[in-house]
Amino acid sequence: MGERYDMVIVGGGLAGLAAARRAGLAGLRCLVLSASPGSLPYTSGALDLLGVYPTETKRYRDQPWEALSELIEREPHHPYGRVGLGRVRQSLDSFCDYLEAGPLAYSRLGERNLRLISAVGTIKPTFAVPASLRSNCEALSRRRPTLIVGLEGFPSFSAVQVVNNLRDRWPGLRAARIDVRPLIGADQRLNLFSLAAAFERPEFRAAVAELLAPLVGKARHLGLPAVLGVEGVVEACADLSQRLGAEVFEIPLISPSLPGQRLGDLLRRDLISKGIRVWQGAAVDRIVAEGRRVKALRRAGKHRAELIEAEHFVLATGRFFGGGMEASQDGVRDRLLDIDLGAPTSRDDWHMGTFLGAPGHPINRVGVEVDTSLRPLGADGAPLYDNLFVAGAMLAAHDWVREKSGAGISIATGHAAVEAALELGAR
Amino acid sequence: MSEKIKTLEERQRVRLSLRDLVFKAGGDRCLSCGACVAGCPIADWNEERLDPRRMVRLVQNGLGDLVVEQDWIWQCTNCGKCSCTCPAGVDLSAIISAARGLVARDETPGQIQQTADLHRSTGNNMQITQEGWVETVEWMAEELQDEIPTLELPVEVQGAEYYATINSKLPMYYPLELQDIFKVFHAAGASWTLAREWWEGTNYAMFTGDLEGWEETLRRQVAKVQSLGCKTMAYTECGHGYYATLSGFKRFGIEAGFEILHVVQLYARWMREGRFKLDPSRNPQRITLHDPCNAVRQPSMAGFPDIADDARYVLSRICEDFVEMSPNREANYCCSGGGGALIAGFKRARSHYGKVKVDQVDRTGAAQVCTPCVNCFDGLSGLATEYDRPWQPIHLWKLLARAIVLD
Amino acid sequence: MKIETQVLVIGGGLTGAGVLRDLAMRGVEALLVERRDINAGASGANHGLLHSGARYAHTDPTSARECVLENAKLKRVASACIDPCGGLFVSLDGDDEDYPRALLDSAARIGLEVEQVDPAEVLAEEPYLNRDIRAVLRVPDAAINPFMATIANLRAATDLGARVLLHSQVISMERRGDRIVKVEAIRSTDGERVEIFPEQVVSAAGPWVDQIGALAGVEIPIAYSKGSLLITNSRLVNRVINRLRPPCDGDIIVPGETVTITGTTSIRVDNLDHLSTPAAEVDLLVAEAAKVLPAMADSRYIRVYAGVRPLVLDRSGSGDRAISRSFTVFDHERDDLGNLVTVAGGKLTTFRLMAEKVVDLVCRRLNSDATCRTADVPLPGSEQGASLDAADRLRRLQVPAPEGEVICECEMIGKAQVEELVDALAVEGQPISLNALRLRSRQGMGSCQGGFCGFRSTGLLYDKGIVSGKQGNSMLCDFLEKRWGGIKPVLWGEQLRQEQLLEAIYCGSLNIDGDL
Repeated sequence: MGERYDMVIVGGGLAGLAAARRAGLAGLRCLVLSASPGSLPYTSGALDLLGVYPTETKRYRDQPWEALSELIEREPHHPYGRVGLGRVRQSLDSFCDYLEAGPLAYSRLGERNLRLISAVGTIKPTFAVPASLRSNCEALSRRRPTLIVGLEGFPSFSAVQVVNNLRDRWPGLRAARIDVRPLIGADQRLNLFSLAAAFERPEFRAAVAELLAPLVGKARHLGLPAVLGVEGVVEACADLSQRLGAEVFEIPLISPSLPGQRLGDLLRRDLISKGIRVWQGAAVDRIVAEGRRVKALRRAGKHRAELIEAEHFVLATGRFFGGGMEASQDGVRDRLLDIDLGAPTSRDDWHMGTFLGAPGHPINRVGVEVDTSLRPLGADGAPLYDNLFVAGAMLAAHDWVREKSGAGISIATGHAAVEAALELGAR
Repeated sequence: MSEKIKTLEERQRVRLSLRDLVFKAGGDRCLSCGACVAGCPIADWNEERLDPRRMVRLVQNGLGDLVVEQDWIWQCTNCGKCSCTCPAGVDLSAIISAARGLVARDETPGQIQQTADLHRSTGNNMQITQEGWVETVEWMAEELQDEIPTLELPVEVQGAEYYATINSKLPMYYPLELQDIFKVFHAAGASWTLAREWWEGTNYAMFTGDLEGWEETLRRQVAKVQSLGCKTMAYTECGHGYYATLSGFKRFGIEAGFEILHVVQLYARWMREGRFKLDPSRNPQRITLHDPCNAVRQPSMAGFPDIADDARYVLSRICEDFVEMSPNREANYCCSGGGGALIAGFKRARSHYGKVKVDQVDRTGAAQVCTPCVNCFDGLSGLATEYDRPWQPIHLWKLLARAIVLD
Repeated sequence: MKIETQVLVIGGGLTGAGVLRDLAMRGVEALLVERRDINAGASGANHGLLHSGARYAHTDPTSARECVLENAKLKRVASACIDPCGGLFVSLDGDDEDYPRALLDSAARIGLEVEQVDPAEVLAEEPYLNRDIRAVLRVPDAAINPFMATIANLRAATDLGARVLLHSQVISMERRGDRIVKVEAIRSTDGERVEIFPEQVVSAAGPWVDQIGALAGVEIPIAYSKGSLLITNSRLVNRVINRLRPPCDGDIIVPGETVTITGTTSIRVDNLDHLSTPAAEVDLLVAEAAKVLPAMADSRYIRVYAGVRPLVLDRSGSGDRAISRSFTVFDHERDDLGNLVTVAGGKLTTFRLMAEKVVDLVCRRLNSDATCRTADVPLPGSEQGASLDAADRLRRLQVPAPEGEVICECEMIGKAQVEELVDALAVEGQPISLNALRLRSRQGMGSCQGGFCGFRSTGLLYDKGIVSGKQGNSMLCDFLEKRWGGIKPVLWGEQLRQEQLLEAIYCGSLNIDGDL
């Protein structure tokens, strides 16, 4: 590219994109490098702040900010602890306000956690949801008469499963099944993409509404698997709701998950419109530094590598899934920083004896240790570099998957990393 | 699917070779996440039920020979979106290319291999003679000289700075497009030249995995450019020609001694140097941009320069109403015509494939889709007709030529 | 429920199934009870190796000779369960240079065909083999699918009128004088008590034979020797690869259809519950395998499992590898019990022979002179003589591609196949669970270890009304927990990434670990 940036961010997940947005707000010339589309396509699209704390007790927290205060007090080295309550709040407000004003129309429930119906009929605590999931939470919380609809030929979702798992406390919940395959056309199999594209078409929605109309009965809500369009989801839901006289909501599916994908797409689109390129397709494999100053990063394409220079760098390369961290038989390293992350000496101690039990797997807490400016520390306890900061799940001392705190950690530390760079002298 | 592999030994050889490649391409890392399937416009669309994930599994499970016999690997356009989307970094696209390469020459569907062979033996895909070629370009230049009297058409100019390649579809089917190219080069005041032979800016052998053909064609092209002593070879709005050259150089260890550019990079370079006087009001209609896979995503993944930024830089200065389609850049979808699909003979597949593209363009409300690649142009043109859409593809050279103000 | 029968067989592994079939073929009325599902013991936790006999030719010729004969017989009658891939013994620099000769001589003595070959020849066939191998011997080892084998034996038996009760645990035996008169079992699915009145009882309970013996008041001296095995994500070898040296830990690598299985260890354990393989043991196996197949050092391992070999103790108390691998049939008349027979020890490869000996004894007691024909009649599915070629078998399942949705991508199993299985289980009266589906179809045995297919199958079971309420989700969690023991010790590298994705899905997106 040959250009010089104020800041280069490595990692196109939520932390990287939130950091990029923050950098853009500060007027920094910024570039995001990402090997792949990141982890957002595998998430529900809902933003978690803190749902369970402490993880030993698996205690669900209705008041996340209260729980957060508790967490920060008990665990000052937790990423939330590093950032501090005030700045966590600030960053969450900034990010959520932005999403609330945008085309996915996110919303919160004031200070409280929301509860979301999952694809298997369990309940997931979360903090902010896009419009297509909002009445999912409402229908659940008010126990309104609701019809959950499954799609014939789509094995990633069973309406019967959802209803069965909730019915003991929600008698007004029913399941039904429709077959939209004839509407799509004989050639086309039912996969996530073809369904979503179909839902963007008004004629298709009209035909689906016709199939659903006789089933609605007294239902005030209809829950469908999250396939209701790609960018046009809000319109698709509104249109269907209007046709059926009941509020239509989505239930997020698993891998890949459209609501998560939509969020990623939106963030990238908005960044690009502000002149911040999110450059996908190749991994960064080396830090080029002079002493404690990082000069450039090496982006290694399949056939050729290039150096990208900047003043400041933020790494948000995540944990194992995206390849930011690697575990060999003997230990865990961060690939780019090339440091050992101090996993328990015996691999037998990396995980608990059960998969789903409390408090969570010790290896999930292994990560990059940082100073108060989110700079990674070397073995001597001093920052490895002056101008390189770390954000997101790669940080040490948290267990986002058990705390249900993934998005909050990403957003808060994404912002904090950029702010630390600004404080330390980014233009 | 058809029985393309005749003997058991052949079957075993194919199985082992593919399995080894899948291993090397990182297939063992597959997490079954489904991202590749979700992003593939031709996933699981017919009875073959293939998609990138299932293809990897079949090969890992010892059924690589089955994969090689499927039509799907030719209905795939090798767009590379699967490789780009994979969180585990599995090079799915390389596996599909390798599978194609394991199909015997005479079993390659449609006209792809024949086209590659023609290029290799005659210097261009269409068997156009030197005389025919020179006649056509001179004729187009003459007509243009009515409008631009100072225009010159350089052919075989020793020591010219830029060697411009041309896709043979232009002289054959769309000769008028040549005039836009001539006008742009003229307006830039560039020192450039066409050649009498080896001017074809494509390499279809890359599509069939014909490594030998790919290399030989490339070397002969390089020799021609070297013989004219040009400093830069500019691929005029072809996607795969550009990528086949850059990646071919790496693969085959070719040190050309000259620069390779996609012509869009040249437009942007000249524009930054202030060589053009532009009037964007000459392009008032709403325009969107299609990112050719081999000029954006594939080079981007390979570490070569891609035209995404340059194309946008140029467009932003030559038209008044530019809107992005979504997704775009390296995340964009293939036009449905890549990888030789236009001449592979699977019309229904291509038509199905194109639905996602049609949706994308529809959503922009654009009247024209700027398409800096000749094959993409044909692909999009076909889709517009098939789906009865009001929008049409247009080359960037045409928009640029229109916006250029000559005194 | 009360059942009268001629012979009660306890144990639903391959030996028990073999006994049941042999009895049925000799016209003896028989019932088999198994406290869990098929192959719950060593039959479900082994190498999948059909020994040629070469491994023990030098150190345990009796057992080796049995293997030689049984190998040939099983290839004839159980061909559909066997991939006759052949095997190699390879030595590396530093291995005992006299051992190859010794092995060749011993092999000749037991009638085993072993051929010494040029390493160069073999290196071409096996691209991942250590290039520096010294001596190479070719042997008729093969790979066997023990699940298919047990199912085929049980089918053969039930086709002839035998009965099978799975998920039924024997809890007590009533003994009167020198006879067992009643055996009581409890069916775990519904708590139903089953009272069985057998004339004869055969205990083929693998490492549990001592516990069964205790119920009958007899002592059976066995040792528990745990062996762990690792499974890789890909098939790295085409043949069984053995180390050409006296038998040791981790020196056998077996191609198991689409994967590679390597092992094993031999560690005394005190109890049969909570078998686990610590990281150190896993690492040992990886290191040993990598000596012969360097690619194993970086390979992705999807699972480790451990089985217990019941070793009948001999008095000399030498190391477990020295105890003969040949089997023992206990005629408990010497314990004043006239109608119990216990069979223990032995190898997967000799299951049919073990069954033959047991049934010979039982038939003598029943005054039947029917002879064993299990080596003459092909098992159901093996009538055509076609062998288990993983690629061919898969090809038949994949061409034409299965209609309908895909439930398991790793093993490419479609909805129709799963539904067929569910229906078959329902017809057999077996409980339908994710584990039952796994044992019969390989679903959940691939790279994701049930993470994705378990999810989809659960949905399918809800849709079919097989599970209701929270039962299905509990079953899914149980299934994942059951798989966990074999997943945890191999969680590094790529498999850790897989697990991280699944944990993010189950706990992050679904909050299935929560209590909301």
